[in-house]
Amino acid sequence: MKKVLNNYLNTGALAADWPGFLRISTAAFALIHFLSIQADFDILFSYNGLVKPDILAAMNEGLVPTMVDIHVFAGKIIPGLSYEHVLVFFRSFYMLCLACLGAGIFTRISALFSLLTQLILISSINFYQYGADSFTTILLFYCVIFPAGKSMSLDSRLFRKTKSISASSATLCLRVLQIHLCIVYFIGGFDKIAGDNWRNGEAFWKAVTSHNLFHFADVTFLKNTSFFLIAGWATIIIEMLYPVFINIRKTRNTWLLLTISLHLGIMLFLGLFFFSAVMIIFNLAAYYVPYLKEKKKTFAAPDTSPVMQLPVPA
Amino acid sequence: MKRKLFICLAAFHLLFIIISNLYTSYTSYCDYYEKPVDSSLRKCISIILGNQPLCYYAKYTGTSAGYGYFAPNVRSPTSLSCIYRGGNIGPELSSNEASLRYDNLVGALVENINAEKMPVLEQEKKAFETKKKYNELVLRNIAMKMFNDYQLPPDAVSMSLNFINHTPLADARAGKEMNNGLHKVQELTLIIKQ
Repeated sequence: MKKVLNNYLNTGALAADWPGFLRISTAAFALIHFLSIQADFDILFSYNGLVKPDILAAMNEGLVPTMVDIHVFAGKIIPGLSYEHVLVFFRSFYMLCLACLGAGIFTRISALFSLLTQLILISSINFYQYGADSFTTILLFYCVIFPAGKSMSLDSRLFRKTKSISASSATLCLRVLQIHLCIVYFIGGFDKIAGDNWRNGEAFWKAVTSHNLFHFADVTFLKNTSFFLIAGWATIIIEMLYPVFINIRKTRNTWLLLTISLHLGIMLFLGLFFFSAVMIIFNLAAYYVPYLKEKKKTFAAPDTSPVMQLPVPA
Repeated sequence: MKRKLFICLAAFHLLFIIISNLYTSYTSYCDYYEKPVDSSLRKCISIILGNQPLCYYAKYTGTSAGYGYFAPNVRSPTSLSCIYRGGNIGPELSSNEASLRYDNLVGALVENINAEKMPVLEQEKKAFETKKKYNELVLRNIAMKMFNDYQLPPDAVSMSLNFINHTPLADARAGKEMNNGLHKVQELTLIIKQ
């Protein structure tokens, strides 16, 4: 048991630069996501918006300060500071932090400030937030604790003294990311199988024919077929068996493809573009990019180095 | 040493995610099948999840989010209707993402006072009334914003938070037309003055 666990924690990350991919894709995603609401920024965040920020802040659970709290606090120190000033600061500071994170400049600090700013922005509009925001927080948190600036970053080029990431350290971090993702899918599937509506196709029917903002195609003509029943069960199977098949080398790519297809379906039929995109990034960072080197190696000379070997599935 | 510490912290992090999510799954299961949550389990878990430092930890690491999306059942669609002089008006949003966030706001307001879960205890009734008043405040804000943006002449506006009826698959198979009727959860009539 100890040997298997040791093997699992120490070997497997063939491409040690996967944290670089995680960092760049997370920063790019968060930046694009934030840019996508710029046209409606005032409507969501300002006192000229749909709901006044202090009213939204009243329902905040108090774990993360809102921009209203910061305005009140900073207003005592800086006389004449308006809420609009605070808003402009956070709006530009978040984008700056994400740009630095993507480029890998002072990576850990920029990741930390990106995370804190994102939490403050989201807590300020707590009623407007949804799943994509939670996953952005998760990925930004991993950018803080993982050695995300050790590869593909300006830090690694500018500060040559920076140690390159060791394979065992990269593997350990990768395992955390992978196990987290496995929990996400297993719980998702487990919750679905608990409800009878997913087992009889009703939930899938409801999801794709509901009042979604975007419909790629109308599928109501399939109502007399077994399509919704099969699609409901397929969703449950893909999610619940994700931790098993994604960790078996032979089935990994197939399961990754099935999972990405599931998210593309959510994107096209439910209109949740950013939620799907962040989940695809999470999947690629955990189960595709780390094994890229392995794929290349299958076409090159075999390497028998123990660090480069994949663990035997438990 | 550093490595062992990292492994311990990682194990705690992942264990925390598993416990909080399994409990969320269990409570949403009980909620869906209208079963009472086991009180001893609730007490036990609230010691862990209600612990203040752990609440901060969950918030700042993103682990406070539940992963049971669209489960055990897909949430019923919601809407906010604003009737002004016989016509429906809505906020002007230019991006799909902002519209999605607006839908989330409406969904959160509806969930805030879901009429099916009528309070029984005095404490629950107070909380329910507070939530109702809060919703009214939010609706007032939205109405004022639309009146200002569209420069509408002062008049009454009827606002309601609704669940949108959804035709079940069996009904659709039986040939029934797709029902888009509204099930009102909260209503409010505002008189907008100059």
